[in-house]
Amino acid sequence: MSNSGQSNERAESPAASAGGMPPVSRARRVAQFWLKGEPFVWATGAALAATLTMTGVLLGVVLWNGLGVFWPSPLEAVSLKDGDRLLGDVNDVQYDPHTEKTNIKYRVGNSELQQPFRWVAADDIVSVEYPPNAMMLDRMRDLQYIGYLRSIEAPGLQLALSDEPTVALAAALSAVRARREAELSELTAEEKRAAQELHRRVKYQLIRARYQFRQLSPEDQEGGSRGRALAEKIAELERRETELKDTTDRLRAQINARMQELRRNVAVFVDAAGREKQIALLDIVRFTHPNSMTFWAKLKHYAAKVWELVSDDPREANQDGGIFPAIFGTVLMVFLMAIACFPLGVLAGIYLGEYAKSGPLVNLVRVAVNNLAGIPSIVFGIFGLGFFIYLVGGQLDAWFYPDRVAAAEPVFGKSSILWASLTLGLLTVPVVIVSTEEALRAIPRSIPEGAYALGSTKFQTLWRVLMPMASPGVMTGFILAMARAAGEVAPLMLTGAVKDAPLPLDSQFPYIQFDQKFMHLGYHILDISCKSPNVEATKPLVYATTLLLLLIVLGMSGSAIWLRNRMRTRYQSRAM
Amino acid sequence: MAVIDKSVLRRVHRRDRWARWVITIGGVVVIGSVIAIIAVILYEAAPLFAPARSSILVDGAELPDLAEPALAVGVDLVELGQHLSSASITAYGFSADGAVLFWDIAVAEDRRERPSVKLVYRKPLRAQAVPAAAESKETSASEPAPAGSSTPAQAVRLSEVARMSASRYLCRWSDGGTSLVQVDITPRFDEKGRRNVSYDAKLLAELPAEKNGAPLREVICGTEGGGFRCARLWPDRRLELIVASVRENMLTGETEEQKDRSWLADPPGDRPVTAMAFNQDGSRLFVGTEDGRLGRWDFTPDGKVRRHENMIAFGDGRAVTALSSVYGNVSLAVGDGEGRLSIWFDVREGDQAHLRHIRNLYTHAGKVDAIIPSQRDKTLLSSGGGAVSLDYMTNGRHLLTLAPDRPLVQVGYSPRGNAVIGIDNGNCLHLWKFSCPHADVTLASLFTKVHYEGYDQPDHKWQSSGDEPKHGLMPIIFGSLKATIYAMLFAAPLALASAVYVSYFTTPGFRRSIKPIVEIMAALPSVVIGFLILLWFAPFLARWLTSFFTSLVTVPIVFVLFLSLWQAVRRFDWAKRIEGGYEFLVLAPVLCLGVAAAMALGPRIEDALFGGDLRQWLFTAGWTQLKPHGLWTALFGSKGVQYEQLNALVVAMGLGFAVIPIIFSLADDALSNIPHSMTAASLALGASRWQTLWRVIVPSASPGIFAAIMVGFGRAVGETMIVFMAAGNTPIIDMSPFNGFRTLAANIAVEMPEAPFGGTLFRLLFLCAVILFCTTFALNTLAEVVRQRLRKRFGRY
Repeated sequence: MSNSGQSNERAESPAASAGGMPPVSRARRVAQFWLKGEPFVWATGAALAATLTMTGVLLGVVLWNGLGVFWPSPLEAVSLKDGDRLLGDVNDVQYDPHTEKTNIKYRVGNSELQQPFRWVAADDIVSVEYPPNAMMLDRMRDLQYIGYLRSIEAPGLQLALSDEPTVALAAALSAVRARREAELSELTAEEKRAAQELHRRVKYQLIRARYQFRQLSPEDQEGGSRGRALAEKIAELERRETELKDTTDRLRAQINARMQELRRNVAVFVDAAGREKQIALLDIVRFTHPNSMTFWAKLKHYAAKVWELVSDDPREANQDGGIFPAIFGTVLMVFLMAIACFPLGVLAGIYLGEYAKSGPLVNLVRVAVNNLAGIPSIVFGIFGLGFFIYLVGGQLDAWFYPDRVAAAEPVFGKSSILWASLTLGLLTVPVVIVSTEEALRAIPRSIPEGAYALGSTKFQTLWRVLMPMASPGVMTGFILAMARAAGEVAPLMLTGAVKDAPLPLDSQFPYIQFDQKFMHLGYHILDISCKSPNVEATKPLVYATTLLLLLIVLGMSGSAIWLRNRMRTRYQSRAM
Repeated sequence: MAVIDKSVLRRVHRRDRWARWVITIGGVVVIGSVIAIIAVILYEAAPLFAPARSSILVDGAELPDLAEPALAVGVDLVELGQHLSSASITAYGFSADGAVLFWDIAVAEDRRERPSVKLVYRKPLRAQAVPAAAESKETSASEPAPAGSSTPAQAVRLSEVARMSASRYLCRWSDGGTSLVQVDITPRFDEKGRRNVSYDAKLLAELPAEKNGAPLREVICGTEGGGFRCARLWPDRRLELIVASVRENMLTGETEEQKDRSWLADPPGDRPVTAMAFNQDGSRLFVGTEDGRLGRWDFTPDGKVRRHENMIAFGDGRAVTALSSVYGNVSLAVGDGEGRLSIWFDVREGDQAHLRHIRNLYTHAGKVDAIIPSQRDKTLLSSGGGAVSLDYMTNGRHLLTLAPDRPLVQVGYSPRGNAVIGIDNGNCLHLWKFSCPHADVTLASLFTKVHYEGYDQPDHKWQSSGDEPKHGLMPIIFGSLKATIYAMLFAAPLALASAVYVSYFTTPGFRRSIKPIVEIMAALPSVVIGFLILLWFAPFLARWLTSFFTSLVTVPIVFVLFLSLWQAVRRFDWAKRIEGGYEFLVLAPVLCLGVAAAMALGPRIEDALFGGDLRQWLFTAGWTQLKPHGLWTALFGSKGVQYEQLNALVVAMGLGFAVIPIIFSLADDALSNIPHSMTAASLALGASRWQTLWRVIVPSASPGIFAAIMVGFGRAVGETMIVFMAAGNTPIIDMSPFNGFRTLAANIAVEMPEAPFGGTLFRLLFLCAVILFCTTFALNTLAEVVRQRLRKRFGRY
């Protein structure tokens, strides 16, 4: 690389480099600029500029798209040359350099009636208006609706509605929600309790009892005391099962009937083409009328949408709604990972930084650490699958849950948040090791030597002197490892992340269901950007999720890096 | 004087010892986990290359209640759990007096006792006249079976039984009639694990005796909807085809059978016909003769001849002694008089497909007597010279040979492909259990070209589903290399140049602030990059493709123009100061200007040169104009170029973006580890800053820079999410930057969710992981060794 370059550039004259300050002609100076290789310096500068610009563009794209997602943009009522009318907000504008024409993509919503997105050539537009009464609804199903409110028909609510349509709609919505809360919350909770008992307890107790019964010898099954006891238990459990099933069915029927009743309260809308549409008030999550909203109202809506994103469950096959389960899953997974990863990482880091004497073993550990950091994450995933799920999980099941294995419902022998966390723990160990080692090495040698001179043992020095001093560095490692784990997706695809899962929480011990699959922010991005049936409609949500993930990951890494740099300067000044 | 409590001292030292142990273990565990990773993935991948296993269950037992030698035998083995003793093994045979006999075989776990062979059921074939009313009978294996009526009412005997498919047999009776018999064995296990087996032999079709004698040979094959096809060779060498179909009368709901008879063209050549076979659905008939000729008829669904072809299969006149269609209904297995088993299928030549010899499998000691295809995969059982051979068709792998002391005269193969039965010339039973779960994988079939069914020549293919899974790893390894090479072409120059600039030319202040920015860049989750490439950059590039290529020209031009202008400005002091490490700030807008120029010019150029659409031009006109250039054909082949939106170019950008920070950081480390004295000496001797860098620093740091590139290469090889989302994941071998590919890592991510545990695909994906691991391990270890050397040389850590 270097040797070949050397001989080529011998053209330079000795005079040029020896050239003194005094009168140098302009031509000479220009020649020197080129001969001394200044352009190459500029070229390397250009490379850096390009790298930084690209990073900026990338972050800018995410920020621009992610932040703008929830801001209510004006609804345009467009009439076209062919007499068609549409109502929607501008989603995209593309300039075609060949024809020198502009095309505008409108989000017109109403996916049950029409294509929710529509391209319009700017030349075809006759007029654009901003009707103040145009509304956009977020709905429980079929995504957005865009249209005008005609009337509210809520016979069951007995409301005196104001003439102002937005006020009336808001009042009707809160009334119907209060009604639902009053009528259904108890039933729903009861139904949920029964269903939980049925699916999380009775079902598995029954599996165990039946399995134990099958394990008995035929004689015991027929007449033995144990066989009789088990048979009784099975009968009891079966009775409980049918009881719970009946309860849930009955409650569900009741809920459905009441919902049906509540659904009679509708709002009637008309869209741009004049089609009428009845929408049950219960189906309306929120509405905006951006053309007549004040800035503060928009801001309030924005805040509400952001809050929905971070606190709500997804709707419509992850196309709409919030991503709370994904956030929760990510946090829980990172937490579990930390428990597995930090002790091992710190131990190995201390070993490398303080205990190891240089020799083949240390070199081997170093090679191992570097390799561990360099092994592709998907290999960790497949290792987690082969080792944790099939070997360890399978063995645990064989020991403790043979009944569940026989019923093809393994407890540990399947992908779950536990195994995903352990896999990621292994993946992030090198980060902790390197940070710990670096933090120990940053401490001036005089400090431990002083401790030894005072007669303390190695462990005392480490525990009382070095670790407290290194702790900010170790913390940095922890934060970096957590950031890495939060952003990593490939291993999770194989070890437990899924597109849709309930919260891995339970009301019974141990409260966290370690054997459940979970949702994860990164996996959620993958799912809705690659596998969504309607990529256009989910794009805003993907950008918002991405922004959130980026904020988490970059925020964590940024603070870790800041912490580390601060620490470095501290020790550097102390070492002087 | 203070007295030190001995016990405190002891405690302190004990703690110190303990800590040393625990910490050392912590260090060693890291090595352990790397070893564990490779051990586990190897452990999961290794069974792929395990040899086929067979164990003999019965070695020469008498068959009870069978007076004369059986005309045909078969076996069924159903395993329940690990233990042989709980397996259900049933053998059956056709006796000459017109019955099917079923024997239950019990094998002791330790094999010390002789296996017991018990007759459990005997089904006379002609006891019921109406085939449809055939009743099945259930007996429990635990209780002795009542023997059926001793002889059928008629004194008609079976004269010949031939296997038509796994469980269907053609029976020729002494009265000249012919029947198609299906043998069914269905073991069931109740809740208490007790076994209940039902045995049955059903007459599926019946052809009464003809007035003018019996045909020389006949084959029969059931067709869809309950009908069948029968081909008969008469002594006058004429071939007759009988097409029987069942029609339901719309009014009465009764079914009626209709038989159409027609004559086919004569068999090839003039020598006797030695083998005949239908394919699995009866749409093709093959005939082989004593002098090595093959005839083949293709039929339309209603039984008309669509195509007929005669050919010389063996130029040396070897007889065709056995024919069989292979599972999947495409290939033909041919056994010849010299004991060789060969595979033939249609290969397109011109506009016609012809039956062609593809490969040879095992060669038997004597002529091939029978070929039985597996019902599960492309395994073939062939018998010849008294021995049995099992071969896998697609890759020509010889699985194993089974040869008892006495030559076998009858063989059978269980429908599950897990047992082989044989009757030797002393009418004794031999039974083997057989397993080779990954027969379709050999080293050769993974890494070399294989001629797959339906293809005109051998090729590298990866296609994990279908009748004939194609498990060639080359397209995937190629995809990994393609992704990595394109990404490195993009990333390595940018990252190295940036590192050089940051470590040598910029101000210390910028150096302190740029390094964290790059580290932040490294922390970008790859799923985010993948998503942006997929939903933002790929559509963008597709629209601005010409501008992208234009920018490769305009940006350097603008850069050089800028430097020329800079000469005029350099005289001023403020400009001079910019040359002290602020260059990149000035250059950022310059580069943007270059890109803007390209975006303005691109469409004009596209209109002027490429007819307004570069992608269309690449597909149609491009190759005719540029074909003579070697590079073009090397990259794109001699076809038009299909521009896919998800292609190597966009992946290279994304992947490059992911590895730039890694290369940058390592290269920066390597460069800044060079002692400052060297720089100072060089500058003092009058070298310019670039000369110092290029002649002094870079040569000293080159091992570290090399290590940085290695590690970046390793990262790019293993990166999953970006490639998974943005590369299209089509496993093709094509160097073109405009189409997609599939990498090893993406292959694991794509296929693993569909791979059943322990299956071939599952293990192959672990093999992909092994390859990935070994590649990155080699690269990283190399890089680490180089860096350790470098550290030693410059006396730092």
